[in-house]
Amino acid sequence: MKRKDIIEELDKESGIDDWKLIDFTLLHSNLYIGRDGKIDNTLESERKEQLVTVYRHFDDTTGEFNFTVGDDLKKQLSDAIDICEYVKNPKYEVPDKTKGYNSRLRLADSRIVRNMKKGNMQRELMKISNRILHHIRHNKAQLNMLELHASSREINIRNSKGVDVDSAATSVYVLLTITKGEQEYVNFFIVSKLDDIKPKEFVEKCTKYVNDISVAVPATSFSGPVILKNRALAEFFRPHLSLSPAVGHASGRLSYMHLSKYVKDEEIVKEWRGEPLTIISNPAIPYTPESNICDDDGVPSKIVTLVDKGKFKNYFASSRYSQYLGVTPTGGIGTIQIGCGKNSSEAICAGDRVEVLEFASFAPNMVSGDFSAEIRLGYLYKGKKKIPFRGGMFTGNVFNLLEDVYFAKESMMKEGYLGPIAVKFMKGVIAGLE
Amino acid sequence: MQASDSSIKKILSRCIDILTSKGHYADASYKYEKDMSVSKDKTSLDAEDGFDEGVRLRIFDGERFRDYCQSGIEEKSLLKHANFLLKTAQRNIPRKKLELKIDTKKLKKSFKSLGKIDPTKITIKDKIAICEKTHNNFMKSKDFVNVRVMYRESITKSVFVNEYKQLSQRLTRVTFVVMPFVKSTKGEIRYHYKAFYKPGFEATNITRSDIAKVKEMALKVRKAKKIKPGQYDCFLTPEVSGLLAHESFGHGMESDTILMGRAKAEEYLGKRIASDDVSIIENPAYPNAHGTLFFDDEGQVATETYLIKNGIVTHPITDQYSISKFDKDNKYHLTANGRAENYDHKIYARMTNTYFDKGKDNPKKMLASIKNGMYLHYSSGGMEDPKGWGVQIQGIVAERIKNGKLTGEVFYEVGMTGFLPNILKNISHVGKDLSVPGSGFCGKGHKEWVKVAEGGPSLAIKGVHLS
Repeated sequence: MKRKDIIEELDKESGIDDWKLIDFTLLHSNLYIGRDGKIDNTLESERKEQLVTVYRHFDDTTGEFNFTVGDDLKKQLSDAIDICEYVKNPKYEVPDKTKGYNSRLRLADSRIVRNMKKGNMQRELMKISNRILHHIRHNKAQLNMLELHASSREINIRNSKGVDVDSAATSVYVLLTITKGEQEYVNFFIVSKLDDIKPKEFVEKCTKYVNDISVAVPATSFSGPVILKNRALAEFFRPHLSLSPAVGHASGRLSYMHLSKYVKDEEIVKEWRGEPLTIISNPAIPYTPESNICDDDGVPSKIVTLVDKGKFKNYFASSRYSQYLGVTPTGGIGTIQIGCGKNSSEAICAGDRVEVLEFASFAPNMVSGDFSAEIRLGYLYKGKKKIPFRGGMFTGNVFNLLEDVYFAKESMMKEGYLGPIAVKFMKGVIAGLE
Repeated sequence: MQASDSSIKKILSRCIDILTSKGHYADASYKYEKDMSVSKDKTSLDAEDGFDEGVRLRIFDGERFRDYCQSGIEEKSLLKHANFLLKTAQRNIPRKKLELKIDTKKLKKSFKSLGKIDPTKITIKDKIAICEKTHNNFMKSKDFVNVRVMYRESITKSVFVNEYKQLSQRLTRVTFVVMPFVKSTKGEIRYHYKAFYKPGFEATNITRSDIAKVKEMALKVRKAKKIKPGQYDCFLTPEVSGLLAHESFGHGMESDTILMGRAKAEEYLGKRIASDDVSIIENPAYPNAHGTLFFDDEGQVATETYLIKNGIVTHPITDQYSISKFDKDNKYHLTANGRAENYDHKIYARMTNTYFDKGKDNPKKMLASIKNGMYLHYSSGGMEDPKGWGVQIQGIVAERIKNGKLTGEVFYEVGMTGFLPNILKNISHVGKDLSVPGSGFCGKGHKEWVKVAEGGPSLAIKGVHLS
């Protein structure tokens, strides 16, 4: 349905007090390469969706209902008006028109947009895959599979109070698996621009890791300094399946549900024995898949300091929950930026210790902070020996570990994480397989 | 649901006529997924009703599949893209063609899942009411900081057409989740999660006894401690045994994973991995489970597959392309496991309902035989490692067993690890109970989410690494 026709229907319907329309188009172009380096599958797709939210305001409450626009919008609106009678929450207002958008923030690679529209994206992806395959051969690595997924997304968010914001973003996701002997290494990254893909560095890193995994010994139990690096570190602060407990407790919604342990201007852990943690949500880094101009309500996204030197400072909150909590809405969450420390990575990574580079998957309990994550690649440093190991679990509680932590002063950016290249937890526990 | 099955089949058949006009294999599928949800907790009540509808056209050029996917079912656009796909396939005809395994048995059939109460006949008002009632039941007690009750209803309609088949199915899935939050003795917030699944609105008919069990477990979680890492003799409930079957073994039996050289299971095909008592089944035809389907996204009609039969690694689960390329000796058949997250995602070999087969042992006697060990109640998830066969199951709630009895000493957020063949070899008893209670989603790595269930009988395993 045409956007203007939907808006006309929404404006015409007298039973609706406020509305929101999200109209988006998502184009995909994917390439799948098998073990023999040949293409197994190609996929091109065009997805269009229009999502409507209807609001009704009562004395002390607001009724809200969301639905996808179908063929009979009139009937859907009539149903939604009725449903708002039952889906009531404490009263809140729909966000007003505002000028606070970061109009300079660039999230779409014009090369991807152009190639998607012209149907040439497969050719671009083949060029990249050929470069990756070249480096795999050069590094004498054994390919298992390679996938490249390019996407281009355009979104328009409007509401009855004049919010009208467009945003466009692109991304390329690259997934590679290589094998050495009996072991494999799975690596992936996501970027916004084709120029940010660095096949040589990517393949070299994968090769180094798979070589180490292939000679890794089974994990033995260890208690003491555990240093996280690489993807293990990024996942610790930005897990794939949920928010990190350290970030999640800054959620306005969690606080409103009485589930957050954070109290404004108070320390987030009992005592800081090491360096206190700083967490910033930064949605304004150009050409970063986690960046965004606004949230789903069209509220401009802001850089927000969630935790500053160990103390909780600000919630990230949608328009509705910010009204409930009496705070400013923050828009969408962005890259999780962790404050760097005073000492170099070299200084931090000294003495007998364990360094973990890769987990199978880091999936902490977002509310309690407890976790147990299987290690895919780690190193045990004992005297002058560096022993690669795999298996076993890094286990503990995120908040307890943060009480005694040191951050490297050098930084890295990886999958929604921007922060120190190494973080040392003084009281780490590895449960081994002996 | 706007278009009728017959009109959809007609449009897809016209696309197939174009795609197969030069002798290529091709298929066309339509998917409509309607998801309605209600969520109620102490502070908020939310409801939404979304749907997703689209078509996939696929052509095989002798070397690879080429997919085109679009939202909706606009015939003009689909015919245009069918012509374009054919033209592209014609440009790239390989010298040596891969012979694709195809089920050429002609079939025209419609299927419908067998729930007792059609949720689309229940008003949203009633769905909200049942969430509120359950929520209020918990909140009467001061033991709970908050309770989140979630109602999720999913109606999937899919239509598949190729030269041989015209199939349609309607799958109804309802999940009712109760998630009480408690404050631990140390003052931290924890939660217990219990999902009730049925293929109809009857999923919400939970009994007083069900509620009492959820409350009891939540209160146990409140007092739970962190486990001392080590090896324990364990009793696994069907929830946990199912996750072991799914994450640790099932992923390694996916034919596309085997084709890529990513599966240790390839070395074990036809060989023993466990005792005679151990069998693992992958079964999209298991009645009324969360992963149940009548045919997969490649039009293969659902049947059960033994991944392990009496301790021997037997048969992979397949998608058309990978089994055709991997199985040059024609030892294996197509199974109904070609699944895609949605109409605009690639089809991979994926699990549906995966479980250990039931054995002969009485679960009560199995528990009684454990002198000192852990009872693993449930877990939150896991991660596959098909090449290394490392095990990661996390979020387990465990309870100490002493002299064959549960002690009430509970451990929270426990992880299970180890080397899969060792764990399978250490299975000492397989229960005669069997249930497939899972109601979750499975990813391939961190993407491509599909609905699955896991389960099995109770298992007793010696020397499991817990931390």
